[in-house]
Amino acid sequence: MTTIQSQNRTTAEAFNWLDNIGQVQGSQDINIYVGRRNAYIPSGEQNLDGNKWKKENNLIYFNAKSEGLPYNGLVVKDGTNIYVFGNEIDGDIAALRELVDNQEFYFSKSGTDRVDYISEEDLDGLFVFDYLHTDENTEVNINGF
Amino acid sequence: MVFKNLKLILVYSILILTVPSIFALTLQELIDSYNFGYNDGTLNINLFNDYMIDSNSNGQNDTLIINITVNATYTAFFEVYFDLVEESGTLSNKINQSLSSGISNVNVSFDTRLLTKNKYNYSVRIYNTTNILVFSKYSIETNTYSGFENGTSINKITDENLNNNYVRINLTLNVTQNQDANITVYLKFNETTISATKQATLTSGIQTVSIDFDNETIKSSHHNGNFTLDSLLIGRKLIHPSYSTSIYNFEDFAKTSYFRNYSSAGIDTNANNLSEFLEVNFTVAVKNTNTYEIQAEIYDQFNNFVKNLSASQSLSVGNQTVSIRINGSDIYATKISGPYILSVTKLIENGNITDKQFEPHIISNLTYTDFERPPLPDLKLNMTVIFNQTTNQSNVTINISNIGESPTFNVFLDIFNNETFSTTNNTVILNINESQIYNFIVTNVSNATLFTAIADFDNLVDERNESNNIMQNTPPTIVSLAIESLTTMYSNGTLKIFEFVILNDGDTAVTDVQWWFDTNDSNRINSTSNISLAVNERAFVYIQYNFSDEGSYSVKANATGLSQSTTISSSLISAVGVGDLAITSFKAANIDIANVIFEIQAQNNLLQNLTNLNWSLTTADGNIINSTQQFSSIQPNETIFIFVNYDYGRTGTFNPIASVTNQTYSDSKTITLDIKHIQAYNLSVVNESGSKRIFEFIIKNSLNTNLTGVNWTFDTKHSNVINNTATSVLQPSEQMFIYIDYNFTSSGTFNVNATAINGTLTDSRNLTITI
Repeated sequence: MTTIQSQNRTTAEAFNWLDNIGQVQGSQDINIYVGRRNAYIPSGEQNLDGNKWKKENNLIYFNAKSEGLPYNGLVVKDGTNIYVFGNEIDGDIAALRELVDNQEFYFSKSGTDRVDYISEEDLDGLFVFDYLHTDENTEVNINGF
Repeated sequence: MVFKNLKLILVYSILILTVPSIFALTLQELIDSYNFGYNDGTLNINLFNDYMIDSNSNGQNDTLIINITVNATYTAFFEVYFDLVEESGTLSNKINQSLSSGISNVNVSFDTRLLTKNKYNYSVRIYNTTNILVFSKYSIETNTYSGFENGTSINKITDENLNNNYVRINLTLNVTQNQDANITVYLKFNETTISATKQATLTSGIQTVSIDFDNETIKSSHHNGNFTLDSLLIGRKLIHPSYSTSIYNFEDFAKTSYFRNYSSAGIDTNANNLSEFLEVNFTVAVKNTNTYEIQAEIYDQFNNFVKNLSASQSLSVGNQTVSIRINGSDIYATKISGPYILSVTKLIENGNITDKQFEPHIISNLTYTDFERPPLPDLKLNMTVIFNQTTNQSNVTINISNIGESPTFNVFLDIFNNETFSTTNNTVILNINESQIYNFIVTNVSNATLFTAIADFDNLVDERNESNNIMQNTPPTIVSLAIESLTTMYSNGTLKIFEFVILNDGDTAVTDVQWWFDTNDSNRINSTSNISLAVNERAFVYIQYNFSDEGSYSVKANATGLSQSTTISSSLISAVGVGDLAITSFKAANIDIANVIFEIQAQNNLLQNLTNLNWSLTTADGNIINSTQQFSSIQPNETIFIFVNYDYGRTGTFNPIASVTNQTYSDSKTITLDIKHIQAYNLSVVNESGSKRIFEFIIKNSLNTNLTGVNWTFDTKHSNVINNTATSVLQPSEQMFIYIDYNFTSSGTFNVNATAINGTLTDSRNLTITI
């Protein structure tokens, strides 16, 4: 990754990037657990900075609310663990997109805990569902992931 | 209406924007338009049924049962979930059931005390043994129910501030069943939720339960205003009350230090409109005098990392401002455009985070170009192209040098011409003032081939000056003007019409072109206006002129012009004959005593052929020599040459006449000949001794008769002339040898002269000697 970055950036940018990011990678391990069937996702209700979340009945509950849609997803950074999962594969992917979109928080040097929920009204989540269910893509058993 | 892909959504979004609002689609309508159901073909469910029962026979229904009829394609265990859709979420229940291949019934029950509505939409989800979804269906409606046993409900909600230590939510509940339950209250503000939970023992009847939000939770909200009680969870029962709290200011509850405000600005210390620093000011409400550490991170609005901020400082109680500066050159080096976002800030006291905020501040109106540049390299190119006309090869030499203030790495150099040659080279490192020379021999090119060299084409190297990264050779500019032709277009006697063509045969435009035409007849005709000629453009000039006399003239056309302050000119001379048939030349080409070879040149000055041309020579001693053969055809401007040999055989002055004629046109010309019959020649020194010389010269009779009275004289040019003392008679072709012995007595250069004399005729020879 370091090599790719340095190729895409100017020399000065690459040095700056290594100065600020490289140390994080070298000094701190982050475990990322992806997918609703991942056994490392803790069971029972979790509390993170006043936000309560859990996976129950194969559904995500965020602050007691469960919307039950395939693209509902959750990204949680709790210490050095990041959990990324959804109600279905749609939610898994939507949550991964959220992780990438908010990488500045999840991979920051400060390591601040954070929770992001892909709700019913999250258009990015809806777009993921829409894309996965085009006629071409529904020919694949997407739930087989 | 179901959107099947993003393009459709985009189209519909555009439609929403462009068609009348009657066609607009709300987000909820868009979501509702989707069918989120799924079926992998394992199960087929067509019958959905629901009903209520009175399980404890107290005369009031207490259980909602949902029944589905499943037609399975194989026998297996399945997890079947039913989700009742509440306004604030879902109420789910599941059953693990083995379904035989074929038709089976699946029932699941819900305690009506968890219900808050009379009618529900529900969904069914069925997973196989590997927890993979095989079937789901959404938005199935239940029947409408009433008179069933209700659970705990809320009669009243109030809130209060407990001495700035807590925000208390008081719930007056109508409890229908004794139970120990966790009661959780969710307060929402600005898309953020905080919650508090309390375990309570509920007994049937009206009961008030208070749930407290502690001061740190309220402070962490950084919210000053109302909170919305978004949802309330009593045991498993989720209630969505519609309640808004009083206004609370998080600062009133803060017992530990917190961020109060942020500001930022570029610091330009040398007033060159480039900031040396980015300064971010953190205003901290300090509750406890201590040493605090502030950490923050800066990103752009597209989540690209820019810079970390951190500072540790001792702060006393009160509002304190901590300023953290970042070098502007570090911001510039990122090449990330603003606005920038302070993505996360943390206030740390004694190793504990006392406050943190996400995206609390936007650093607007600044971008990386507003900051000072770090020391940068500067690539500069020089190129020389030497073309070899013999081999059609160009020797291209390119010198790439770093004239900047820092080394540079991985520099690409692209070289190509305007034909097929192209190459790319790479320099790993160029230190300050270091150069790299590349040399190429490019074949099959011309002198006009344009070569281009570009350093760092992809702009990977940030430079002090980006404008000197490209270099092109300059093909030599040819500035030229030519008189392409000068021709006679019309001829009638002495009247002529000439055409001459001025051609710009260079490779650059020529302006202010002027011309003049010299008739060689004491006249010069000048142009009256200036013209411009583009490359390869011609100007045609026509001149009508009536010569004053017939004859041969050398007319001259001339043109001058300007190109980039260079004056250029060109001229062309053409010999023209004026008249019809003219003897342009008549002369004695050779005279050997009395034997003369005449040369006659006659030119056809007409624009048509002349035929049957005769000539004659009147020798002026009584003879006429006529042509024995006619010139059958003479083309326009063609000149014929006639040579006639005639021996006069005697001395005398003659005026021979040459004539040409074709009956229609004729011309004649005469010359004067002086035929001498005596000849002196071979004047030479045959012996010398000191200042003494012996000269010899010969006198010859060139007549075919005797020559009498032959005399001579010799001028020494030394104050002495030696004369013959007696005349002689010479037979035809007879020679007389004269020897003269003379002592010059002094040194010097003397041009001696020997002269043969016959009456008035003389013939002399000179000889220069040095004593």
